[in-house]
Amino acid sequence: MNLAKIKTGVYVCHCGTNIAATVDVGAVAEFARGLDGVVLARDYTYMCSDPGQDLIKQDIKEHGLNRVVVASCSPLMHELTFRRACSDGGLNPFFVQMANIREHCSWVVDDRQDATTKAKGLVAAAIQRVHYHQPLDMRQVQMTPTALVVGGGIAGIEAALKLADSGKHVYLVERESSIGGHMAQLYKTFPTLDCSA
Amino acid sequence: MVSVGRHPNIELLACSEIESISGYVGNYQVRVRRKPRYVDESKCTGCGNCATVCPVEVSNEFDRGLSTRKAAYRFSAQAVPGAFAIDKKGIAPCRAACPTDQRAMGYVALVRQKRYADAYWAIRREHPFPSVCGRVCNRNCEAACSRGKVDEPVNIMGIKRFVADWAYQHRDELPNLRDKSIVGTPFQHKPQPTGKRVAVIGAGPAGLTAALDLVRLGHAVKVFDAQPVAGGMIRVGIPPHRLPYEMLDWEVQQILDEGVELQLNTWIDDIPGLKKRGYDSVLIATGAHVAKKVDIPGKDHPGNWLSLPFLKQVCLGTPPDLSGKRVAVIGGGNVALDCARSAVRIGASECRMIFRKPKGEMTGFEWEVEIAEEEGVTMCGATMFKEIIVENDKVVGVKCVRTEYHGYDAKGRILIDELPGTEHILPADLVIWATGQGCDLSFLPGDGSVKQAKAGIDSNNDMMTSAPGIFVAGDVHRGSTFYVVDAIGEGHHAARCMDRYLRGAQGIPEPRLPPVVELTESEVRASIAHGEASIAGRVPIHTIPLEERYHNFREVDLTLTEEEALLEADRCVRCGVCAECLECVAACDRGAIDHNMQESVEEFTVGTIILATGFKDFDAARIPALNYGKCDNILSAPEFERLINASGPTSGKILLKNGKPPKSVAILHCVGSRDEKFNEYCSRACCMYSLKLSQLVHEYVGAEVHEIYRDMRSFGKGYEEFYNRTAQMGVHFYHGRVRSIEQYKKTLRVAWDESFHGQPDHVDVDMVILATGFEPQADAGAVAVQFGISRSRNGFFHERHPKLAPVETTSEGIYLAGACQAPKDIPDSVAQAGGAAAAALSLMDQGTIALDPSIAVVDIQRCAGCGQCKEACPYQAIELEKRTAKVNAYLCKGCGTCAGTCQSKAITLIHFDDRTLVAEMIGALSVEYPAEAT
Repeated sequence: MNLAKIKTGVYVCHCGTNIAATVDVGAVAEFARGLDGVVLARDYTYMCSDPGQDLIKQDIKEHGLNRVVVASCSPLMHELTFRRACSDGGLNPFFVQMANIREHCSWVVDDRQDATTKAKGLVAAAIQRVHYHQPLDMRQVQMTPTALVVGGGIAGIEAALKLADSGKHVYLVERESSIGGHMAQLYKTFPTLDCSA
Repeated sequence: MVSVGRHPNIELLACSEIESISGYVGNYQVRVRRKPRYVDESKCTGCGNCATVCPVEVSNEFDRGLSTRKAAYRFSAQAVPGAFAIDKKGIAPCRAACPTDQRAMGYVALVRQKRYADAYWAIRREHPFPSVCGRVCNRNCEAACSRGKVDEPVNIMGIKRFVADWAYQHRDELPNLRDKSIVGTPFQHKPQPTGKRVAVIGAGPAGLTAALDLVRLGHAVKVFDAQPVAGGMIRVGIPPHRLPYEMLDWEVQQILDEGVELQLNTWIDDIPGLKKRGYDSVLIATGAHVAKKVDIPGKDHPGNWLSLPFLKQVCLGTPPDLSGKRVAVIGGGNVALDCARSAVRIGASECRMIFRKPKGEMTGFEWEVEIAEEEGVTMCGATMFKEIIVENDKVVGVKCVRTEYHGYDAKGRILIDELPGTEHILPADLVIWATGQGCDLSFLPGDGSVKQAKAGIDSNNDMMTSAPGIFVAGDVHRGSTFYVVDAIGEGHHAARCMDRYLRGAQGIPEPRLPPVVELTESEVRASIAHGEASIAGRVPIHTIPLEERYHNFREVDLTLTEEEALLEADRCVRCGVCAECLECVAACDRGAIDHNMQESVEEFTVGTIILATGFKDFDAARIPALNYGKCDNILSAPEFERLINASGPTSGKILLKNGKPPKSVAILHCVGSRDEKFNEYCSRACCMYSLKLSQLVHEYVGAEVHEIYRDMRSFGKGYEEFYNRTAQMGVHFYHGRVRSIEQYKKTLRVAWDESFHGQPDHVDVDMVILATGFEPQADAGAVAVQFGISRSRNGFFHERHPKLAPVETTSEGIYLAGACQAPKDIPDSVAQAGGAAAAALSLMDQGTIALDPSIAVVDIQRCAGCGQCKEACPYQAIELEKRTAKVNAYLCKGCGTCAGTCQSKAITLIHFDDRTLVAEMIGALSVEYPAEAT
C-alpha cells in the first residue's frame, strides 16, 4: 500500500440538524483533514442532495480523488447513492466508504462533545479501511422471469394475478385444497358491504 | 378466485407446501411437496358423488366447526380448484396391522351408517372369508387400535362378524343390495381374459384367496384339494363350536361364482404333469396337516391320538364318543384348546391340558382359555410331560414334572427348567397330542426341483419356489400352522407375484402404502371429546349359557346385535379420517379417485418470491374469563362470519343454540389484541369488521347491538363515515375493557372496567361476538428460516424498512404481501399485494440483476480441504472440488461465516480481510473517548 498515492476526500453531512445539532461537523472535517491520505474534507447540509453529490463528482475530477469517505447516515439508506455519484465522477464505486454518524452516533449520543469524538473515531476508521479497498464489479446474474407466490389468500391471489397479467408465469402454492384463505369465509366486507368471494 | 383457476399464466399447486428454497435472487430453486389429493384434478367434474357415498363425517373447518363435512369433500362451494379432495392422513393402524390389508376402518364407518351391505362388500374386497375372521381371528387390528390407548380397542372382530352374519341372513337379496351407494352390484366388471391358466393345489384360505385374486385379474384358475370339503384347515381343523360351516360354505360358493373352478377329493402328486396339461403356473398351498408328537415313552400306544385327525372327525360331523373318558391334551396352543373343548362336548368326564409354559404365557388365546376352563377343562401349566403310562395295555396317565419358565434366549430357544422332586401322575385314559403341526411334502417331485426349506417349501421374495412358475403360499410355505389372516395375506401376495410372472411388466405391482397414522393418547382423547367417537366402553361378546354347550357343537359366541354393533362402530376414532371403504371409487363415474396416490415433489426455478402466508385467529379460549367454548352463544367473529354467511351452516340464519334468533347481541373489541398478556399490538381490522357485523346483525336480525370498545380505530378512507353510519343505526357504543362474560339467568352478562362516566359497566345479552385479533401463523418461524427472512418481535415477517422498503425483505427478490407481515384489513392486503407484485415485476423485467461483489474468496494454497466451511455455509454456496473449497459466486451472500470457521485462514471476504478490518479498528481507536463511554 503506497500511501503517497492515496487521495481521500472526506464529506461530513449535517443531515439538516439530524447530525449537526449533536455533532460538531466542522470539527470532524477539520480532524479528518489531518489524517493520512486525506487531501480534502468538507462538511455540507445534505450530502445526498444533488448539489451534495455534485461536490463529490467535481472533487474527483479536480483533485484526482481515488478514495471517498462520506460520514452521514446508515449505508442501508444511501450507500447506493454515493456509489453512483462516484461512478458518475469516474471512480470505481467500491472506493466509497460510509461512516454512519447519524444512527450510530448523533441519534444515540446525547453529549455534543462525546458525539463529536465518536464521529471522529468512525470517520478515522472509514478513512483507514478505505485505503485497502479494491476496484470491484457488481456480479451480474440472469433473472428468471417466473415468480412463486406462497399462500392463496386475498393477498396471494392479488399478487399472482398482477404478475400473471403482465405475462409472467406464476406458481401459486396453497396448503389447503382450495385457494381463498380467510377471505373466502367472509360474507360481506367493509366499507362497501359487498360480497367477498 | 375464479380468475386464478382460469389464468393461463398461473400454475396453481393446491394441497402443497414448500419443502425447500435454494439458489439466489433471479434463480431460486423451489421444491414443493404436493400432498396427495387422492382425486385427479384433471378428471374430477365436481359432481360430488364421492361425498354422497362417503361414510365419514368430520368437523368442517371451513365453517369453523359449526357444521360437518365428509372425508371426501370440497373446501367450499366456490373452491378453486373445484375438484374434490379426500382427507386422508394416512392408513389406519388397524389396516397396517392386518396381513390381509383389510381396511377395517372402512367397514366400521359403513356400519356406523347402517350400510351393512356396503360394509360386506367393503370387507370382501380384500377378504373372502368374513365369517371366519369375524370369529377366529388373532385380531392384530385390535392390538393396534388407537382406541386401546384410552380404554379398550374397538371390537373390530365383533363388528366384522355382525356384518358377515347380516350378509348371510340377507344372502338372497344381497347381490342387488348397495344401500346408499349409486353403483350396481360389486365385482361386476368382467376382466379381460389373459388366456393364462393357473392350477392351485389346496383349497384353504391361502389357495382360495390367491385363486379369487387371479380370477379377478383375468386368469383361468382351477383349485384342487384332497379333502372332500373346501376350506382347508378352517374347514377341517376349527371345530363347529367356534366356526359354523354353512356361512363358510356360502363364502366358498361366492368365490366359485366369481369364476374359480374347484375339484375336491383329488390328491395332486405330479406337479410337472400339471404344466404339461397346459397350466402356465402352479400355486402350492397345501397347508400343514400333519400333527406331531414329542418323543417320550409310551407315545406309540394306540391310546395316543393326534390332534388333527381327531379335529377332522369332529369337523366333518363324525366325532368319536368319549363318554366317561379322562382326556389329557398335550399342548398349550389354540389347536390344543380346540381339542380340549371338543372333548368336553363329546362326553369326556375329565379333560386336562398339559403344557410346559405357565398358564399366562401359553400360546392359546387368553379369552379362549377362560372359556375352556369355564367349560370344565383343567389347565395344567408349567408342567413337563415325561411319559405316557401304560398299564395292562391301557393308557392310565401322564407322568409329569413341574417346570420353571425363563423366557427365550437370544437364539429364540425356550428356557425351561424341570424342578426335581415334583414328579406326579395326571390320570388319563386317552392322550391327544397337540404339540405342533408340520407339512406332508410327499407330493413334491422326487427330483428335488422344488426345494424344501428347514420347514415347509423354500421360495424367493416373490413367493416362487426353486422351480420356475411354481409358487407357494400359506402354512406349507412357513412349515407350520399360522393364523387365517396370515394365509390370506400370503394368498394375496402370491397372486400378485404370479400375475407379474404371467404378464410381465403389465402385472400388478406390490402396493406402495401411504404412511401409517399414529395418534397419541391425547389425540384419541381429543377426538372422543369432540364427539367424533362415542365415549362408551367396549361392547363384549356374549356367549350361550354353559349348560347348552354339552353333547352338541353349537356355536358358543353370539353375534353382536344391531344396537351393539352400532354402539361399537361409534367408538372408532377414525385415525386416518378417510376410512378407505373405497365407496367413492365405485361412485366416481370418471375414475378420478386413486387411493394409492403418493406424495410427490415438484421442482422449478423462479426469479422472485412473494410470501402471502397470512395469519391465524387469536384463540379466545386462552382468556378464561370470557368463558368462550364453555357457555353457549359466545362466538368468535370468524365463527359468526360463517353463521351469517348465506352458504354457511344455517344458510345465513342467525340463531341461538335453542334455535331462536337473538334479541340482543354484544360485540367485544380487542380480544387478544392490545393486551400485554397476549399481544401488545393492535390488530387493526377488528374495529371495522365489528362495525360491519353490527350493521349486519341490525339489518338481518333486528336485534339490539352493543359494542364494547377500547378505542374506535376507523382510520381508513371512508371508515369514519362507516362508523358514523353504524352509530346512526342505533347501535350502542360503550367504552370499556371487558372483564368477564358469565351466564346470568337465561342471558350472558358482559361486564367491563374503564367505563366512561355515566355509562353502564355491564350488559345482559343473548349472544356475544368476540372480535378476535390476528396472530402470526403457527409455523411462521419455520417459514422465516426456510426463506432466510427475519421476523418482528411479535412474530410477523419483517419488512426491510418500514417506510422505504415496506414489501421487500432482507433477502433479495423475496417480497411480503398481506397479513403475514402485520395485521391488515382487506384493502391494505390488496394494496400491499399490488406493491409486492410491482416490486417483483420491476426486478424481473430488468432481465439481469447486479449483486454486491463483497463475497468470500479461497486462497487455494492455504486451503486444507477440510470442508468445515461447506458445513458452516448457510447458503450452500461452498463445494469441495479436488479437495479444495470453491465458492459459488452467485450463491454467496458475503455473510462471512465460512471465513470465521476456516482454521487455516484460507477464506477471506472481499473488503473484510484482516488487513482492512485491523486498519478500520486502528482508525476507530485513534481518538480518545471519554472514560465512561469505553
